[in-house]
Order: sequence, then C-alpha cells, then structure tokens
Amino acid sequence: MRAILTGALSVLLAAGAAEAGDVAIIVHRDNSQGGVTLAELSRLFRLDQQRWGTGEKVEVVLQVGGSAKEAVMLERVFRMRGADLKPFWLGKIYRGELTAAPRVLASDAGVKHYVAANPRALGYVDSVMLDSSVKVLRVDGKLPGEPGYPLARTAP
Amino acid sequence: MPRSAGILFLAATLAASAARAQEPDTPGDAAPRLTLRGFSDVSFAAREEDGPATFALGQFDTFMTSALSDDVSVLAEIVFEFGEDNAAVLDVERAQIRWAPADVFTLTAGRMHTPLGYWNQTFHHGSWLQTTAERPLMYRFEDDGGILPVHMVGVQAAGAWNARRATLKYSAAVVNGRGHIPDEIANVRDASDAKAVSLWLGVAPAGTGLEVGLSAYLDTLPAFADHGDVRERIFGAYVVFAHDGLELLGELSRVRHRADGDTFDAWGGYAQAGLKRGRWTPYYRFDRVEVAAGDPFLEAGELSVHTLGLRFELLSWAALKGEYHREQPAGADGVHSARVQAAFTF
Repeated sequence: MRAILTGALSVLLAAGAAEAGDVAIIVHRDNSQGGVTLAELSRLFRLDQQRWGTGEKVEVVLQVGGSAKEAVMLERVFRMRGADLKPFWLGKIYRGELTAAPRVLASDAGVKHYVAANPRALGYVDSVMLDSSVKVLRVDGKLPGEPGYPLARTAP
Repeated sequence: MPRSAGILFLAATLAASAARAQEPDTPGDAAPRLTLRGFSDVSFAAREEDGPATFALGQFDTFMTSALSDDVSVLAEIVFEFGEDNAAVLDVERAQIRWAPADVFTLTAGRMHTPLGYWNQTFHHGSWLQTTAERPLMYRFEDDGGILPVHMVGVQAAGAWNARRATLKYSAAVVNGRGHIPDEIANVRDASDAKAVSLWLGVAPAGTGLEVGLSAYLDTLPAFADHGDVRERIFGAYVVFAHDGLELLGELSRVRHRADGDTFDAWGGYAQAGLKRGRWTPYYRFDRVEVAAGDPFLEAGELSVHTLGLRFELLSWAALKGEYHREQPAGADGVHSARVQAAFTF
C-alpha cells in the first residue's frame, strides 16, 4: 500500500511541476512570424486583429480556464476577468466580427497537438511542455524563462 | 408575416441548426455550419398613469451566423416582438453577407445596424448584452418613436487598422434613405433615387479600454404633403471607457432637417456609468431627447429620463436587472416607473 501511495504522490508532484513554467506562445513551425509585441499579442488573441502578416487568418485556440496560466493570459493578454470572456466573444459574434468563438481545448498537450497540425493556429501552453513540434514566439523580444519575459508566471 | 409562418420558420431554423451541429466544422466541401443563438427577456413593469402593472415579453431574437469560406460569412437576425395589442410580429432585423479579405477592409451588403455611434452596433437587440434593461432614448427603434435610422439597407465598407498605439476603425456606407415616416425602412424599395450616406470613425488607444468616435448620416427625405424634399444631416459623437468592470458610456447626436428654408434640430444623448463587482453591477443613466416644434419628420417634444438600476448575473448567460426611472417631459409632472427584467441568451 505504501508503494502505491508513494507512487501516486510522485505522479501528483510531477503533474504539479509540469505546470510551473512561464506561459509560452506557440504557432505552427511553418509560421514565418518570429515574435510579437505584447500589444500585438493582445490584439491577436482578442481577434481584434484576425490576420497574420502574410494575410492568412489567425486561428486562436484557448484552454479551459482556472489555472495560473489562464490567469496570466487574462490579466496581461486579454486584459479582462474570466467571467467577462464569454460575453466578450458573444459580443464579437453579435457585431458580426466573428462567426464563432475560438476553439477551447482541455490541456497543454491538446493545444500543442492542434497548433502543430494547423499552420494558422495561435495558442499558449506552459513552457515546460515545449518541444520541437511547435514554434515559440518571442514576446517583446523575449522567450519564456528570459528575464523580463512579459508572460512570466510571476509578474515581470 | 403571419404568426404561423413565423413559428414554422423558427422550427425549420432550429431543426437545421440541430442537424448541422453534427457536421464537421472545417471548411471545404461540407455544407456551411450554422451557428444559432437567441436573446430574449421577460419583464415585470409598472408605470404611473399608464395602466396596470404587467408582465411583458421582450423581443425574442434569433441570431444566426455562418462562414461560407475563410473570407465570406452571412449573418441574420430575426426578431419576434409583441405589440401593444399583444400580437406577435416577425421582423428581419439584419440579413447580410460579408466579404472580409483583410482586417482593414470588409464589404457588407444587406440590412445592417447603422453605425451611428457605439450602442447601436454593440448591443442593439441583444438585451442581455447591455448592462441596462432598457435602451437609451436616442436609440429607440424606428417603430417606437426613435429619432435615428438605427437600421439601414445597402452596402458598407468597413475595417480596422491596428497601429502600434491605437486601433483606427471606420465605416462608409451607401444605403437606401429613410421613408416618408421614421418607421418606414426601405428594405426592397427606396422612396427616392437619392441614396443616403453613412460615415463612422472610431479610435481606440491600445490597452486603455477607451474608444472615441464620430459619425455622420446624410440623406434627403422624400417630399411630404406640406414640404418639398427635406435635407437630413445627422452628426454624432461618442466616448466609451470599459475596463476592469467600470463602464462609462456617453453619446450625443444631432438630427438637423432643412425644409423650405427652415431648419429644425433634434438632439439625443445619454451618459451611463456602471461598475461591475463580482456578480453585481449598479448603474445610472441620464437620457435626453428633444425635437424642435414643427419638425417635418419627427414628433416634437422633450423628454429627460433618470435611470437607476442594479444588475445581477444569475448565471453565465442570464442576468436579473432592476430599474427605477423618473421621466420628465417638458412642461409636465415627472412620471415614476420601474422594471424588473430577466434577460438571457441561449
């Protein structure tokens, strides 16, 4: 029994550690965009800007809310509270700016898989989940983990 | 449209939406996916000197969007509403097709909300979207004594240019003009060859929650029995601040009619403030509309309204609003009224 409990505890600790990095902004590996400013990122995620520089449509993918990662995105990128996000999308649809709200996925793995398969996608994951299947965008010239990164888990 | 036809239409729409919900959402050869939303409200209202207190159904708004391709989408808004005689009527409030090849340029054709400022494009029929239970006096619908042409039929170019420090938004439209009375919207037949022009410009400094804008609507109304053509010039301005639960809205419009050498001005405006904390939003709004005596198109009068209200978010998609109003017509005693409204979207 002790071995089972120890094992379960190890898994839980590992899961906790797995969500401990900065918030990384990811795009498809073929996306020519190398970086964005925080203001541009805000416009892209809020779909106030719906096109990449190439003219291709931006396909935003979000995650189910509630984690520290979403708190960072809400405060510094969406600049609103979680409860205001659904009305925000509905308002955009009502004004004819969108035909549907962005896709919402349940996990970093799901977002990474989706972005890796969609050249127009834009998503965010915990930086500890990064691998070569996706490209990480610089934000204000910085990558996750670098000093002054705007989407650091702790405020820059 | 007869009520039975309306019910059949709604049933067919719901059935089509349910059937298409099973289809893949990727573009290609699959049929376009229809997204259907609804807005409605139920109120209990009491007003001095205006008959018994009553329950009242609000507009039942069915709202549909569909992407035909990456760049082309359609939007339709069909509203069931109830008149003073309790009978239901069906109105096609919006029906438009939009080509959006770039953020800076979109082209829309059909029946649209006239970009007169902020409220008209942002909330309009969606009562749940707006903080308050009632819309501002200046934006009352054409069939409810409104002074502005809140709907238009024609072609609109619009877009947004995202600069480093601000977003610049614009709209320019050529549309059918207003008819012989405010409620006559030229859906299929314009009253004259002269087309109306609608212009709108907005600026939103990045990350501030602030937006300011100007609008103009230029039209020539058809000749009346006791007037020749009436030149109509509508100019509007708005300031909006929405950030961290604080909502401040202010709009002003002037409607000028010039007929046979005479000029008649109508003014409409409101200022609204609300502060959302948790699920509660207390708010206040001051409305005023005045129409000069002798105006050849609008009914003359002056009215100010103070509104004090409280909104409570029952659920993510349902809100309860309670409002007290004090109406002050010119030269008459003030009238008190109150409304409790459950507004929802589904």
